[in-house]
Amino acid sequence: MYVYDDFDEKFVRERAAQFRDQVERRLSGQLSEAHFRPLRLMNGVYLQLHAYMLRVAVPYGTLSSKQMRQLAMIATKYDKGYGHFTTRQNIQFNWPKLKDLPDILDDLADVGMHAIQTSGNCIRNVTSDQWAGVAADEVTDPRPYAELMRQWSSLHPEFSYLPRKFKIAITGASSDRAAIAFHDIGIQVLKNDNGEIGFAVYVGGGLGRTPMVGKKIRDFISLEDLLPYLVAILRAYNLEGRRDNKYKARIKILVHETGIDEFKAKVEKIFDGLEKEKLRAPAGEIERIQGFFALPDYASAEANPESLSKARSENPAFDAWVNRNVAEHKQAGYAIANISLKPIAGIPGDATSEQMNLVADLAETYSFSEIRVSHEQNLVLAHVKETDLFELWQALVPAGLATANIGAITDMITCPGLDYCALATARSIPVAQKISEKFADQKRQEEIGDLKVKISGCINACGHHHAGHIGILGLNKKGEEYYQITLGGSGDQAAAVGEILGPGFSGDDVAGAIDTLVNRYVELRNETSETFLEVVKRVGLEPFKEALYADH
Amino acid sequence: MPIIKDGAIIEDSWTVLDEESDAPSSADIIIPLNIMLEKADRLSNHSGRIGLLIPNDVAVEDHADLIAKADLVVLELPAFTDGRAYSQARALREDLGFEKELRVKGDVLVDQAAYLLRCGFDSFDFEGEFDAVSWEKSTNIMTTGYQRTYRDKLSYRD
Repeated sequence: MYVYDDFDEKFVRERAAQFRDQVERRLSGQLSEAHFRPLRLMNGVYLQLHAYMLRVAVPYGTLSSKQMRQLAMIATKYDKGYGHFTTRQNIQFNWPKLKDLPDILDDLADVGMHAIQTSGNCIRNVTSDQWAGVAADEVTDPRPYAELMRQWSSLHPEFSYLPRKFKIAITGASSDRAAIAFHDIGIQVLKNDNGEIGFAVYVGGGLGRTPMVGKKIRDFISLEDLLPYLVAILRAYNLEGRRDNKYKARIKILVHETGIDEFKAKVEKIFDGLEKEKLRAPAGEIERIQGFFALPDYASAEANPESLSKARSENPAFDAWVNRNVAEHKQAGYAIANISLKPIAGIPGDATSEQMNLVADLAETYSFSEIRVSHEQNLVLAHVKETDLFELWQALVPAGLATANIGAITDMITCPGLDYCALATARSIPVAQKISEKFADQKRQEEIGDLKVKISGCINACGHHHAGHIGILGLNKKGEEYYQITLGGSGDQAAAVGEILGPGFSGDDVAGAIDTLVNRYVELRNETSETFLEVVKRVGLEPFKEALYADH
Repeated sequence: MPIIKDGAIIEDSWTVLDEESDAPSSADIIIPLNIMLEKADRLSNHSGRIGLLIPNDVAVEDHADLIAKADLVVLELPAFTDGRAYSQARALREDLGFEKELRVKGDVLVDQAAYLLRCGFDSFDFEGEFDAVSWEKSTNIMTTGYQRTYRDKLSYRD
């Protein structure tokens, strides 16, 4: 994985020193909250309901064991002993004190990390496929390009006061695990007939109160023109994006109101006029970065080892975990081990310092000291020998990290909701906990199969409810929380926005309503392999509405 | 309002021409773009320097000819959160090749000055109180950067 050189380190240290100065001016009253706000946001500092929150960038979701241990240390020293992994592959700490934040940034800089642009109206942390580099369906590892964009976007002099936040995601695989269609810019790495790397570029996707699927703006942009092309898109947006209404300020609204053809024409005109040479990555830079992402030195390892089949047949719980949480690796004899942060009735995405330290140790022992964070708020050890899986699982069990539910109904994306967030209109976590309890039975989860439930505690859709096969949106009417249910959303290569079923449910009734919907699905499917989305597509919403509202 | 250049308050000879009044022909005048477009003829005898004030909803490349003749361009920052002038500045400097003085007018935060300088501005028509010490600090704290820009003083990796 990428390792900072002296230059990168100097950059983050200078940035930390700059923020220390800004915090001092804020604490002394020299800087008003209004002026401090955008500065702190661009350093990942929010003011939540009860305290400041610090969101630390995990660029494209890749972490080293050393970095994970530092996050654990920060959680223990400055917070309440836990952190929360987010849908943008970051981690947030919910209880730091303002005066401690500069020290935390220094501690992060010690391990090549930062909180730059994890918030604010600027280019946010670039996200990617959590299986990058090891997925069997990949053209090439997208992370070197993500790292290039991380550097390019950091403290960008032109794009730090955009109309609104700006999110970029990149995937190199045919199965989209990074939800690129729901990003301001989504990038798919391609290889043309000459074997050259280039990128299909999508623009104007997003969730929030106006969910939209991104539209293709370029079929193939060459590697050398990637950064200039991003400049052209961002410049068109910076100049013309709406600034009169923050709810209409994202690029998706501009693209929608302008029309993709006219917007593309504007971008291409800017692109043609750019002095491109200076905007390109320096010669040799991408190769330098790629050097850090060379595949690890895999040992020759036995594929489908006897010991694994034996352990699986003797331990049903391990067998269930392998079925659910272990994915195919492109290297024979290796596997991708996904660690669920969705224990039954737990808080989705949370990890304690002890858990973080354990995962760091296990990554060191079994997975070349590398950890991934997924946008679905789980962790990944991307290079585990099949012969080590049983030992790994045994180490995860006592720490509560062996829940066998990746991709199953209890593996929900959930925003922090009204338990933490100042924007929320309803709680999300307790609803997720009730649903998780309702479907706790492993056998039933397996009968249901893959099913993505996503919960947001307000219309801003941080819990990606629009993209859930079943989406849940928490709202508030006259002081009462209630929850609207949508069906048919999808965040993958067949991206779609879910449709609202009908009147909402109280917090106590949501889990029951989901139960009803799932039972209806199981009745309706022709065979167990027919997925939830396929059934919704085939029969429409009516049978589900009827199941939910017939008695009402 | 003080004018800041190179980290200090400077004497400034420019005055903004408004709709009605006429400035002496020898004065250095800043003319809003809309007036310039209407009254360009009347300026043919003007012997002083001419600056152009361009609102932030204007595409600068549409006025490349006027800009090429100007001795000063002023761009506006109506609120410190409104970042349009940053893009206008880079387009002026890097794409249109404007080499004369580029000024920003409006709600400039001291913490933004470094970004504005990197985008090609060299003077600031500053609202509020100017503090040279914090200006100095905030424009020099970052010595490294990842983006090459016009007249940039930062160091890069290579």
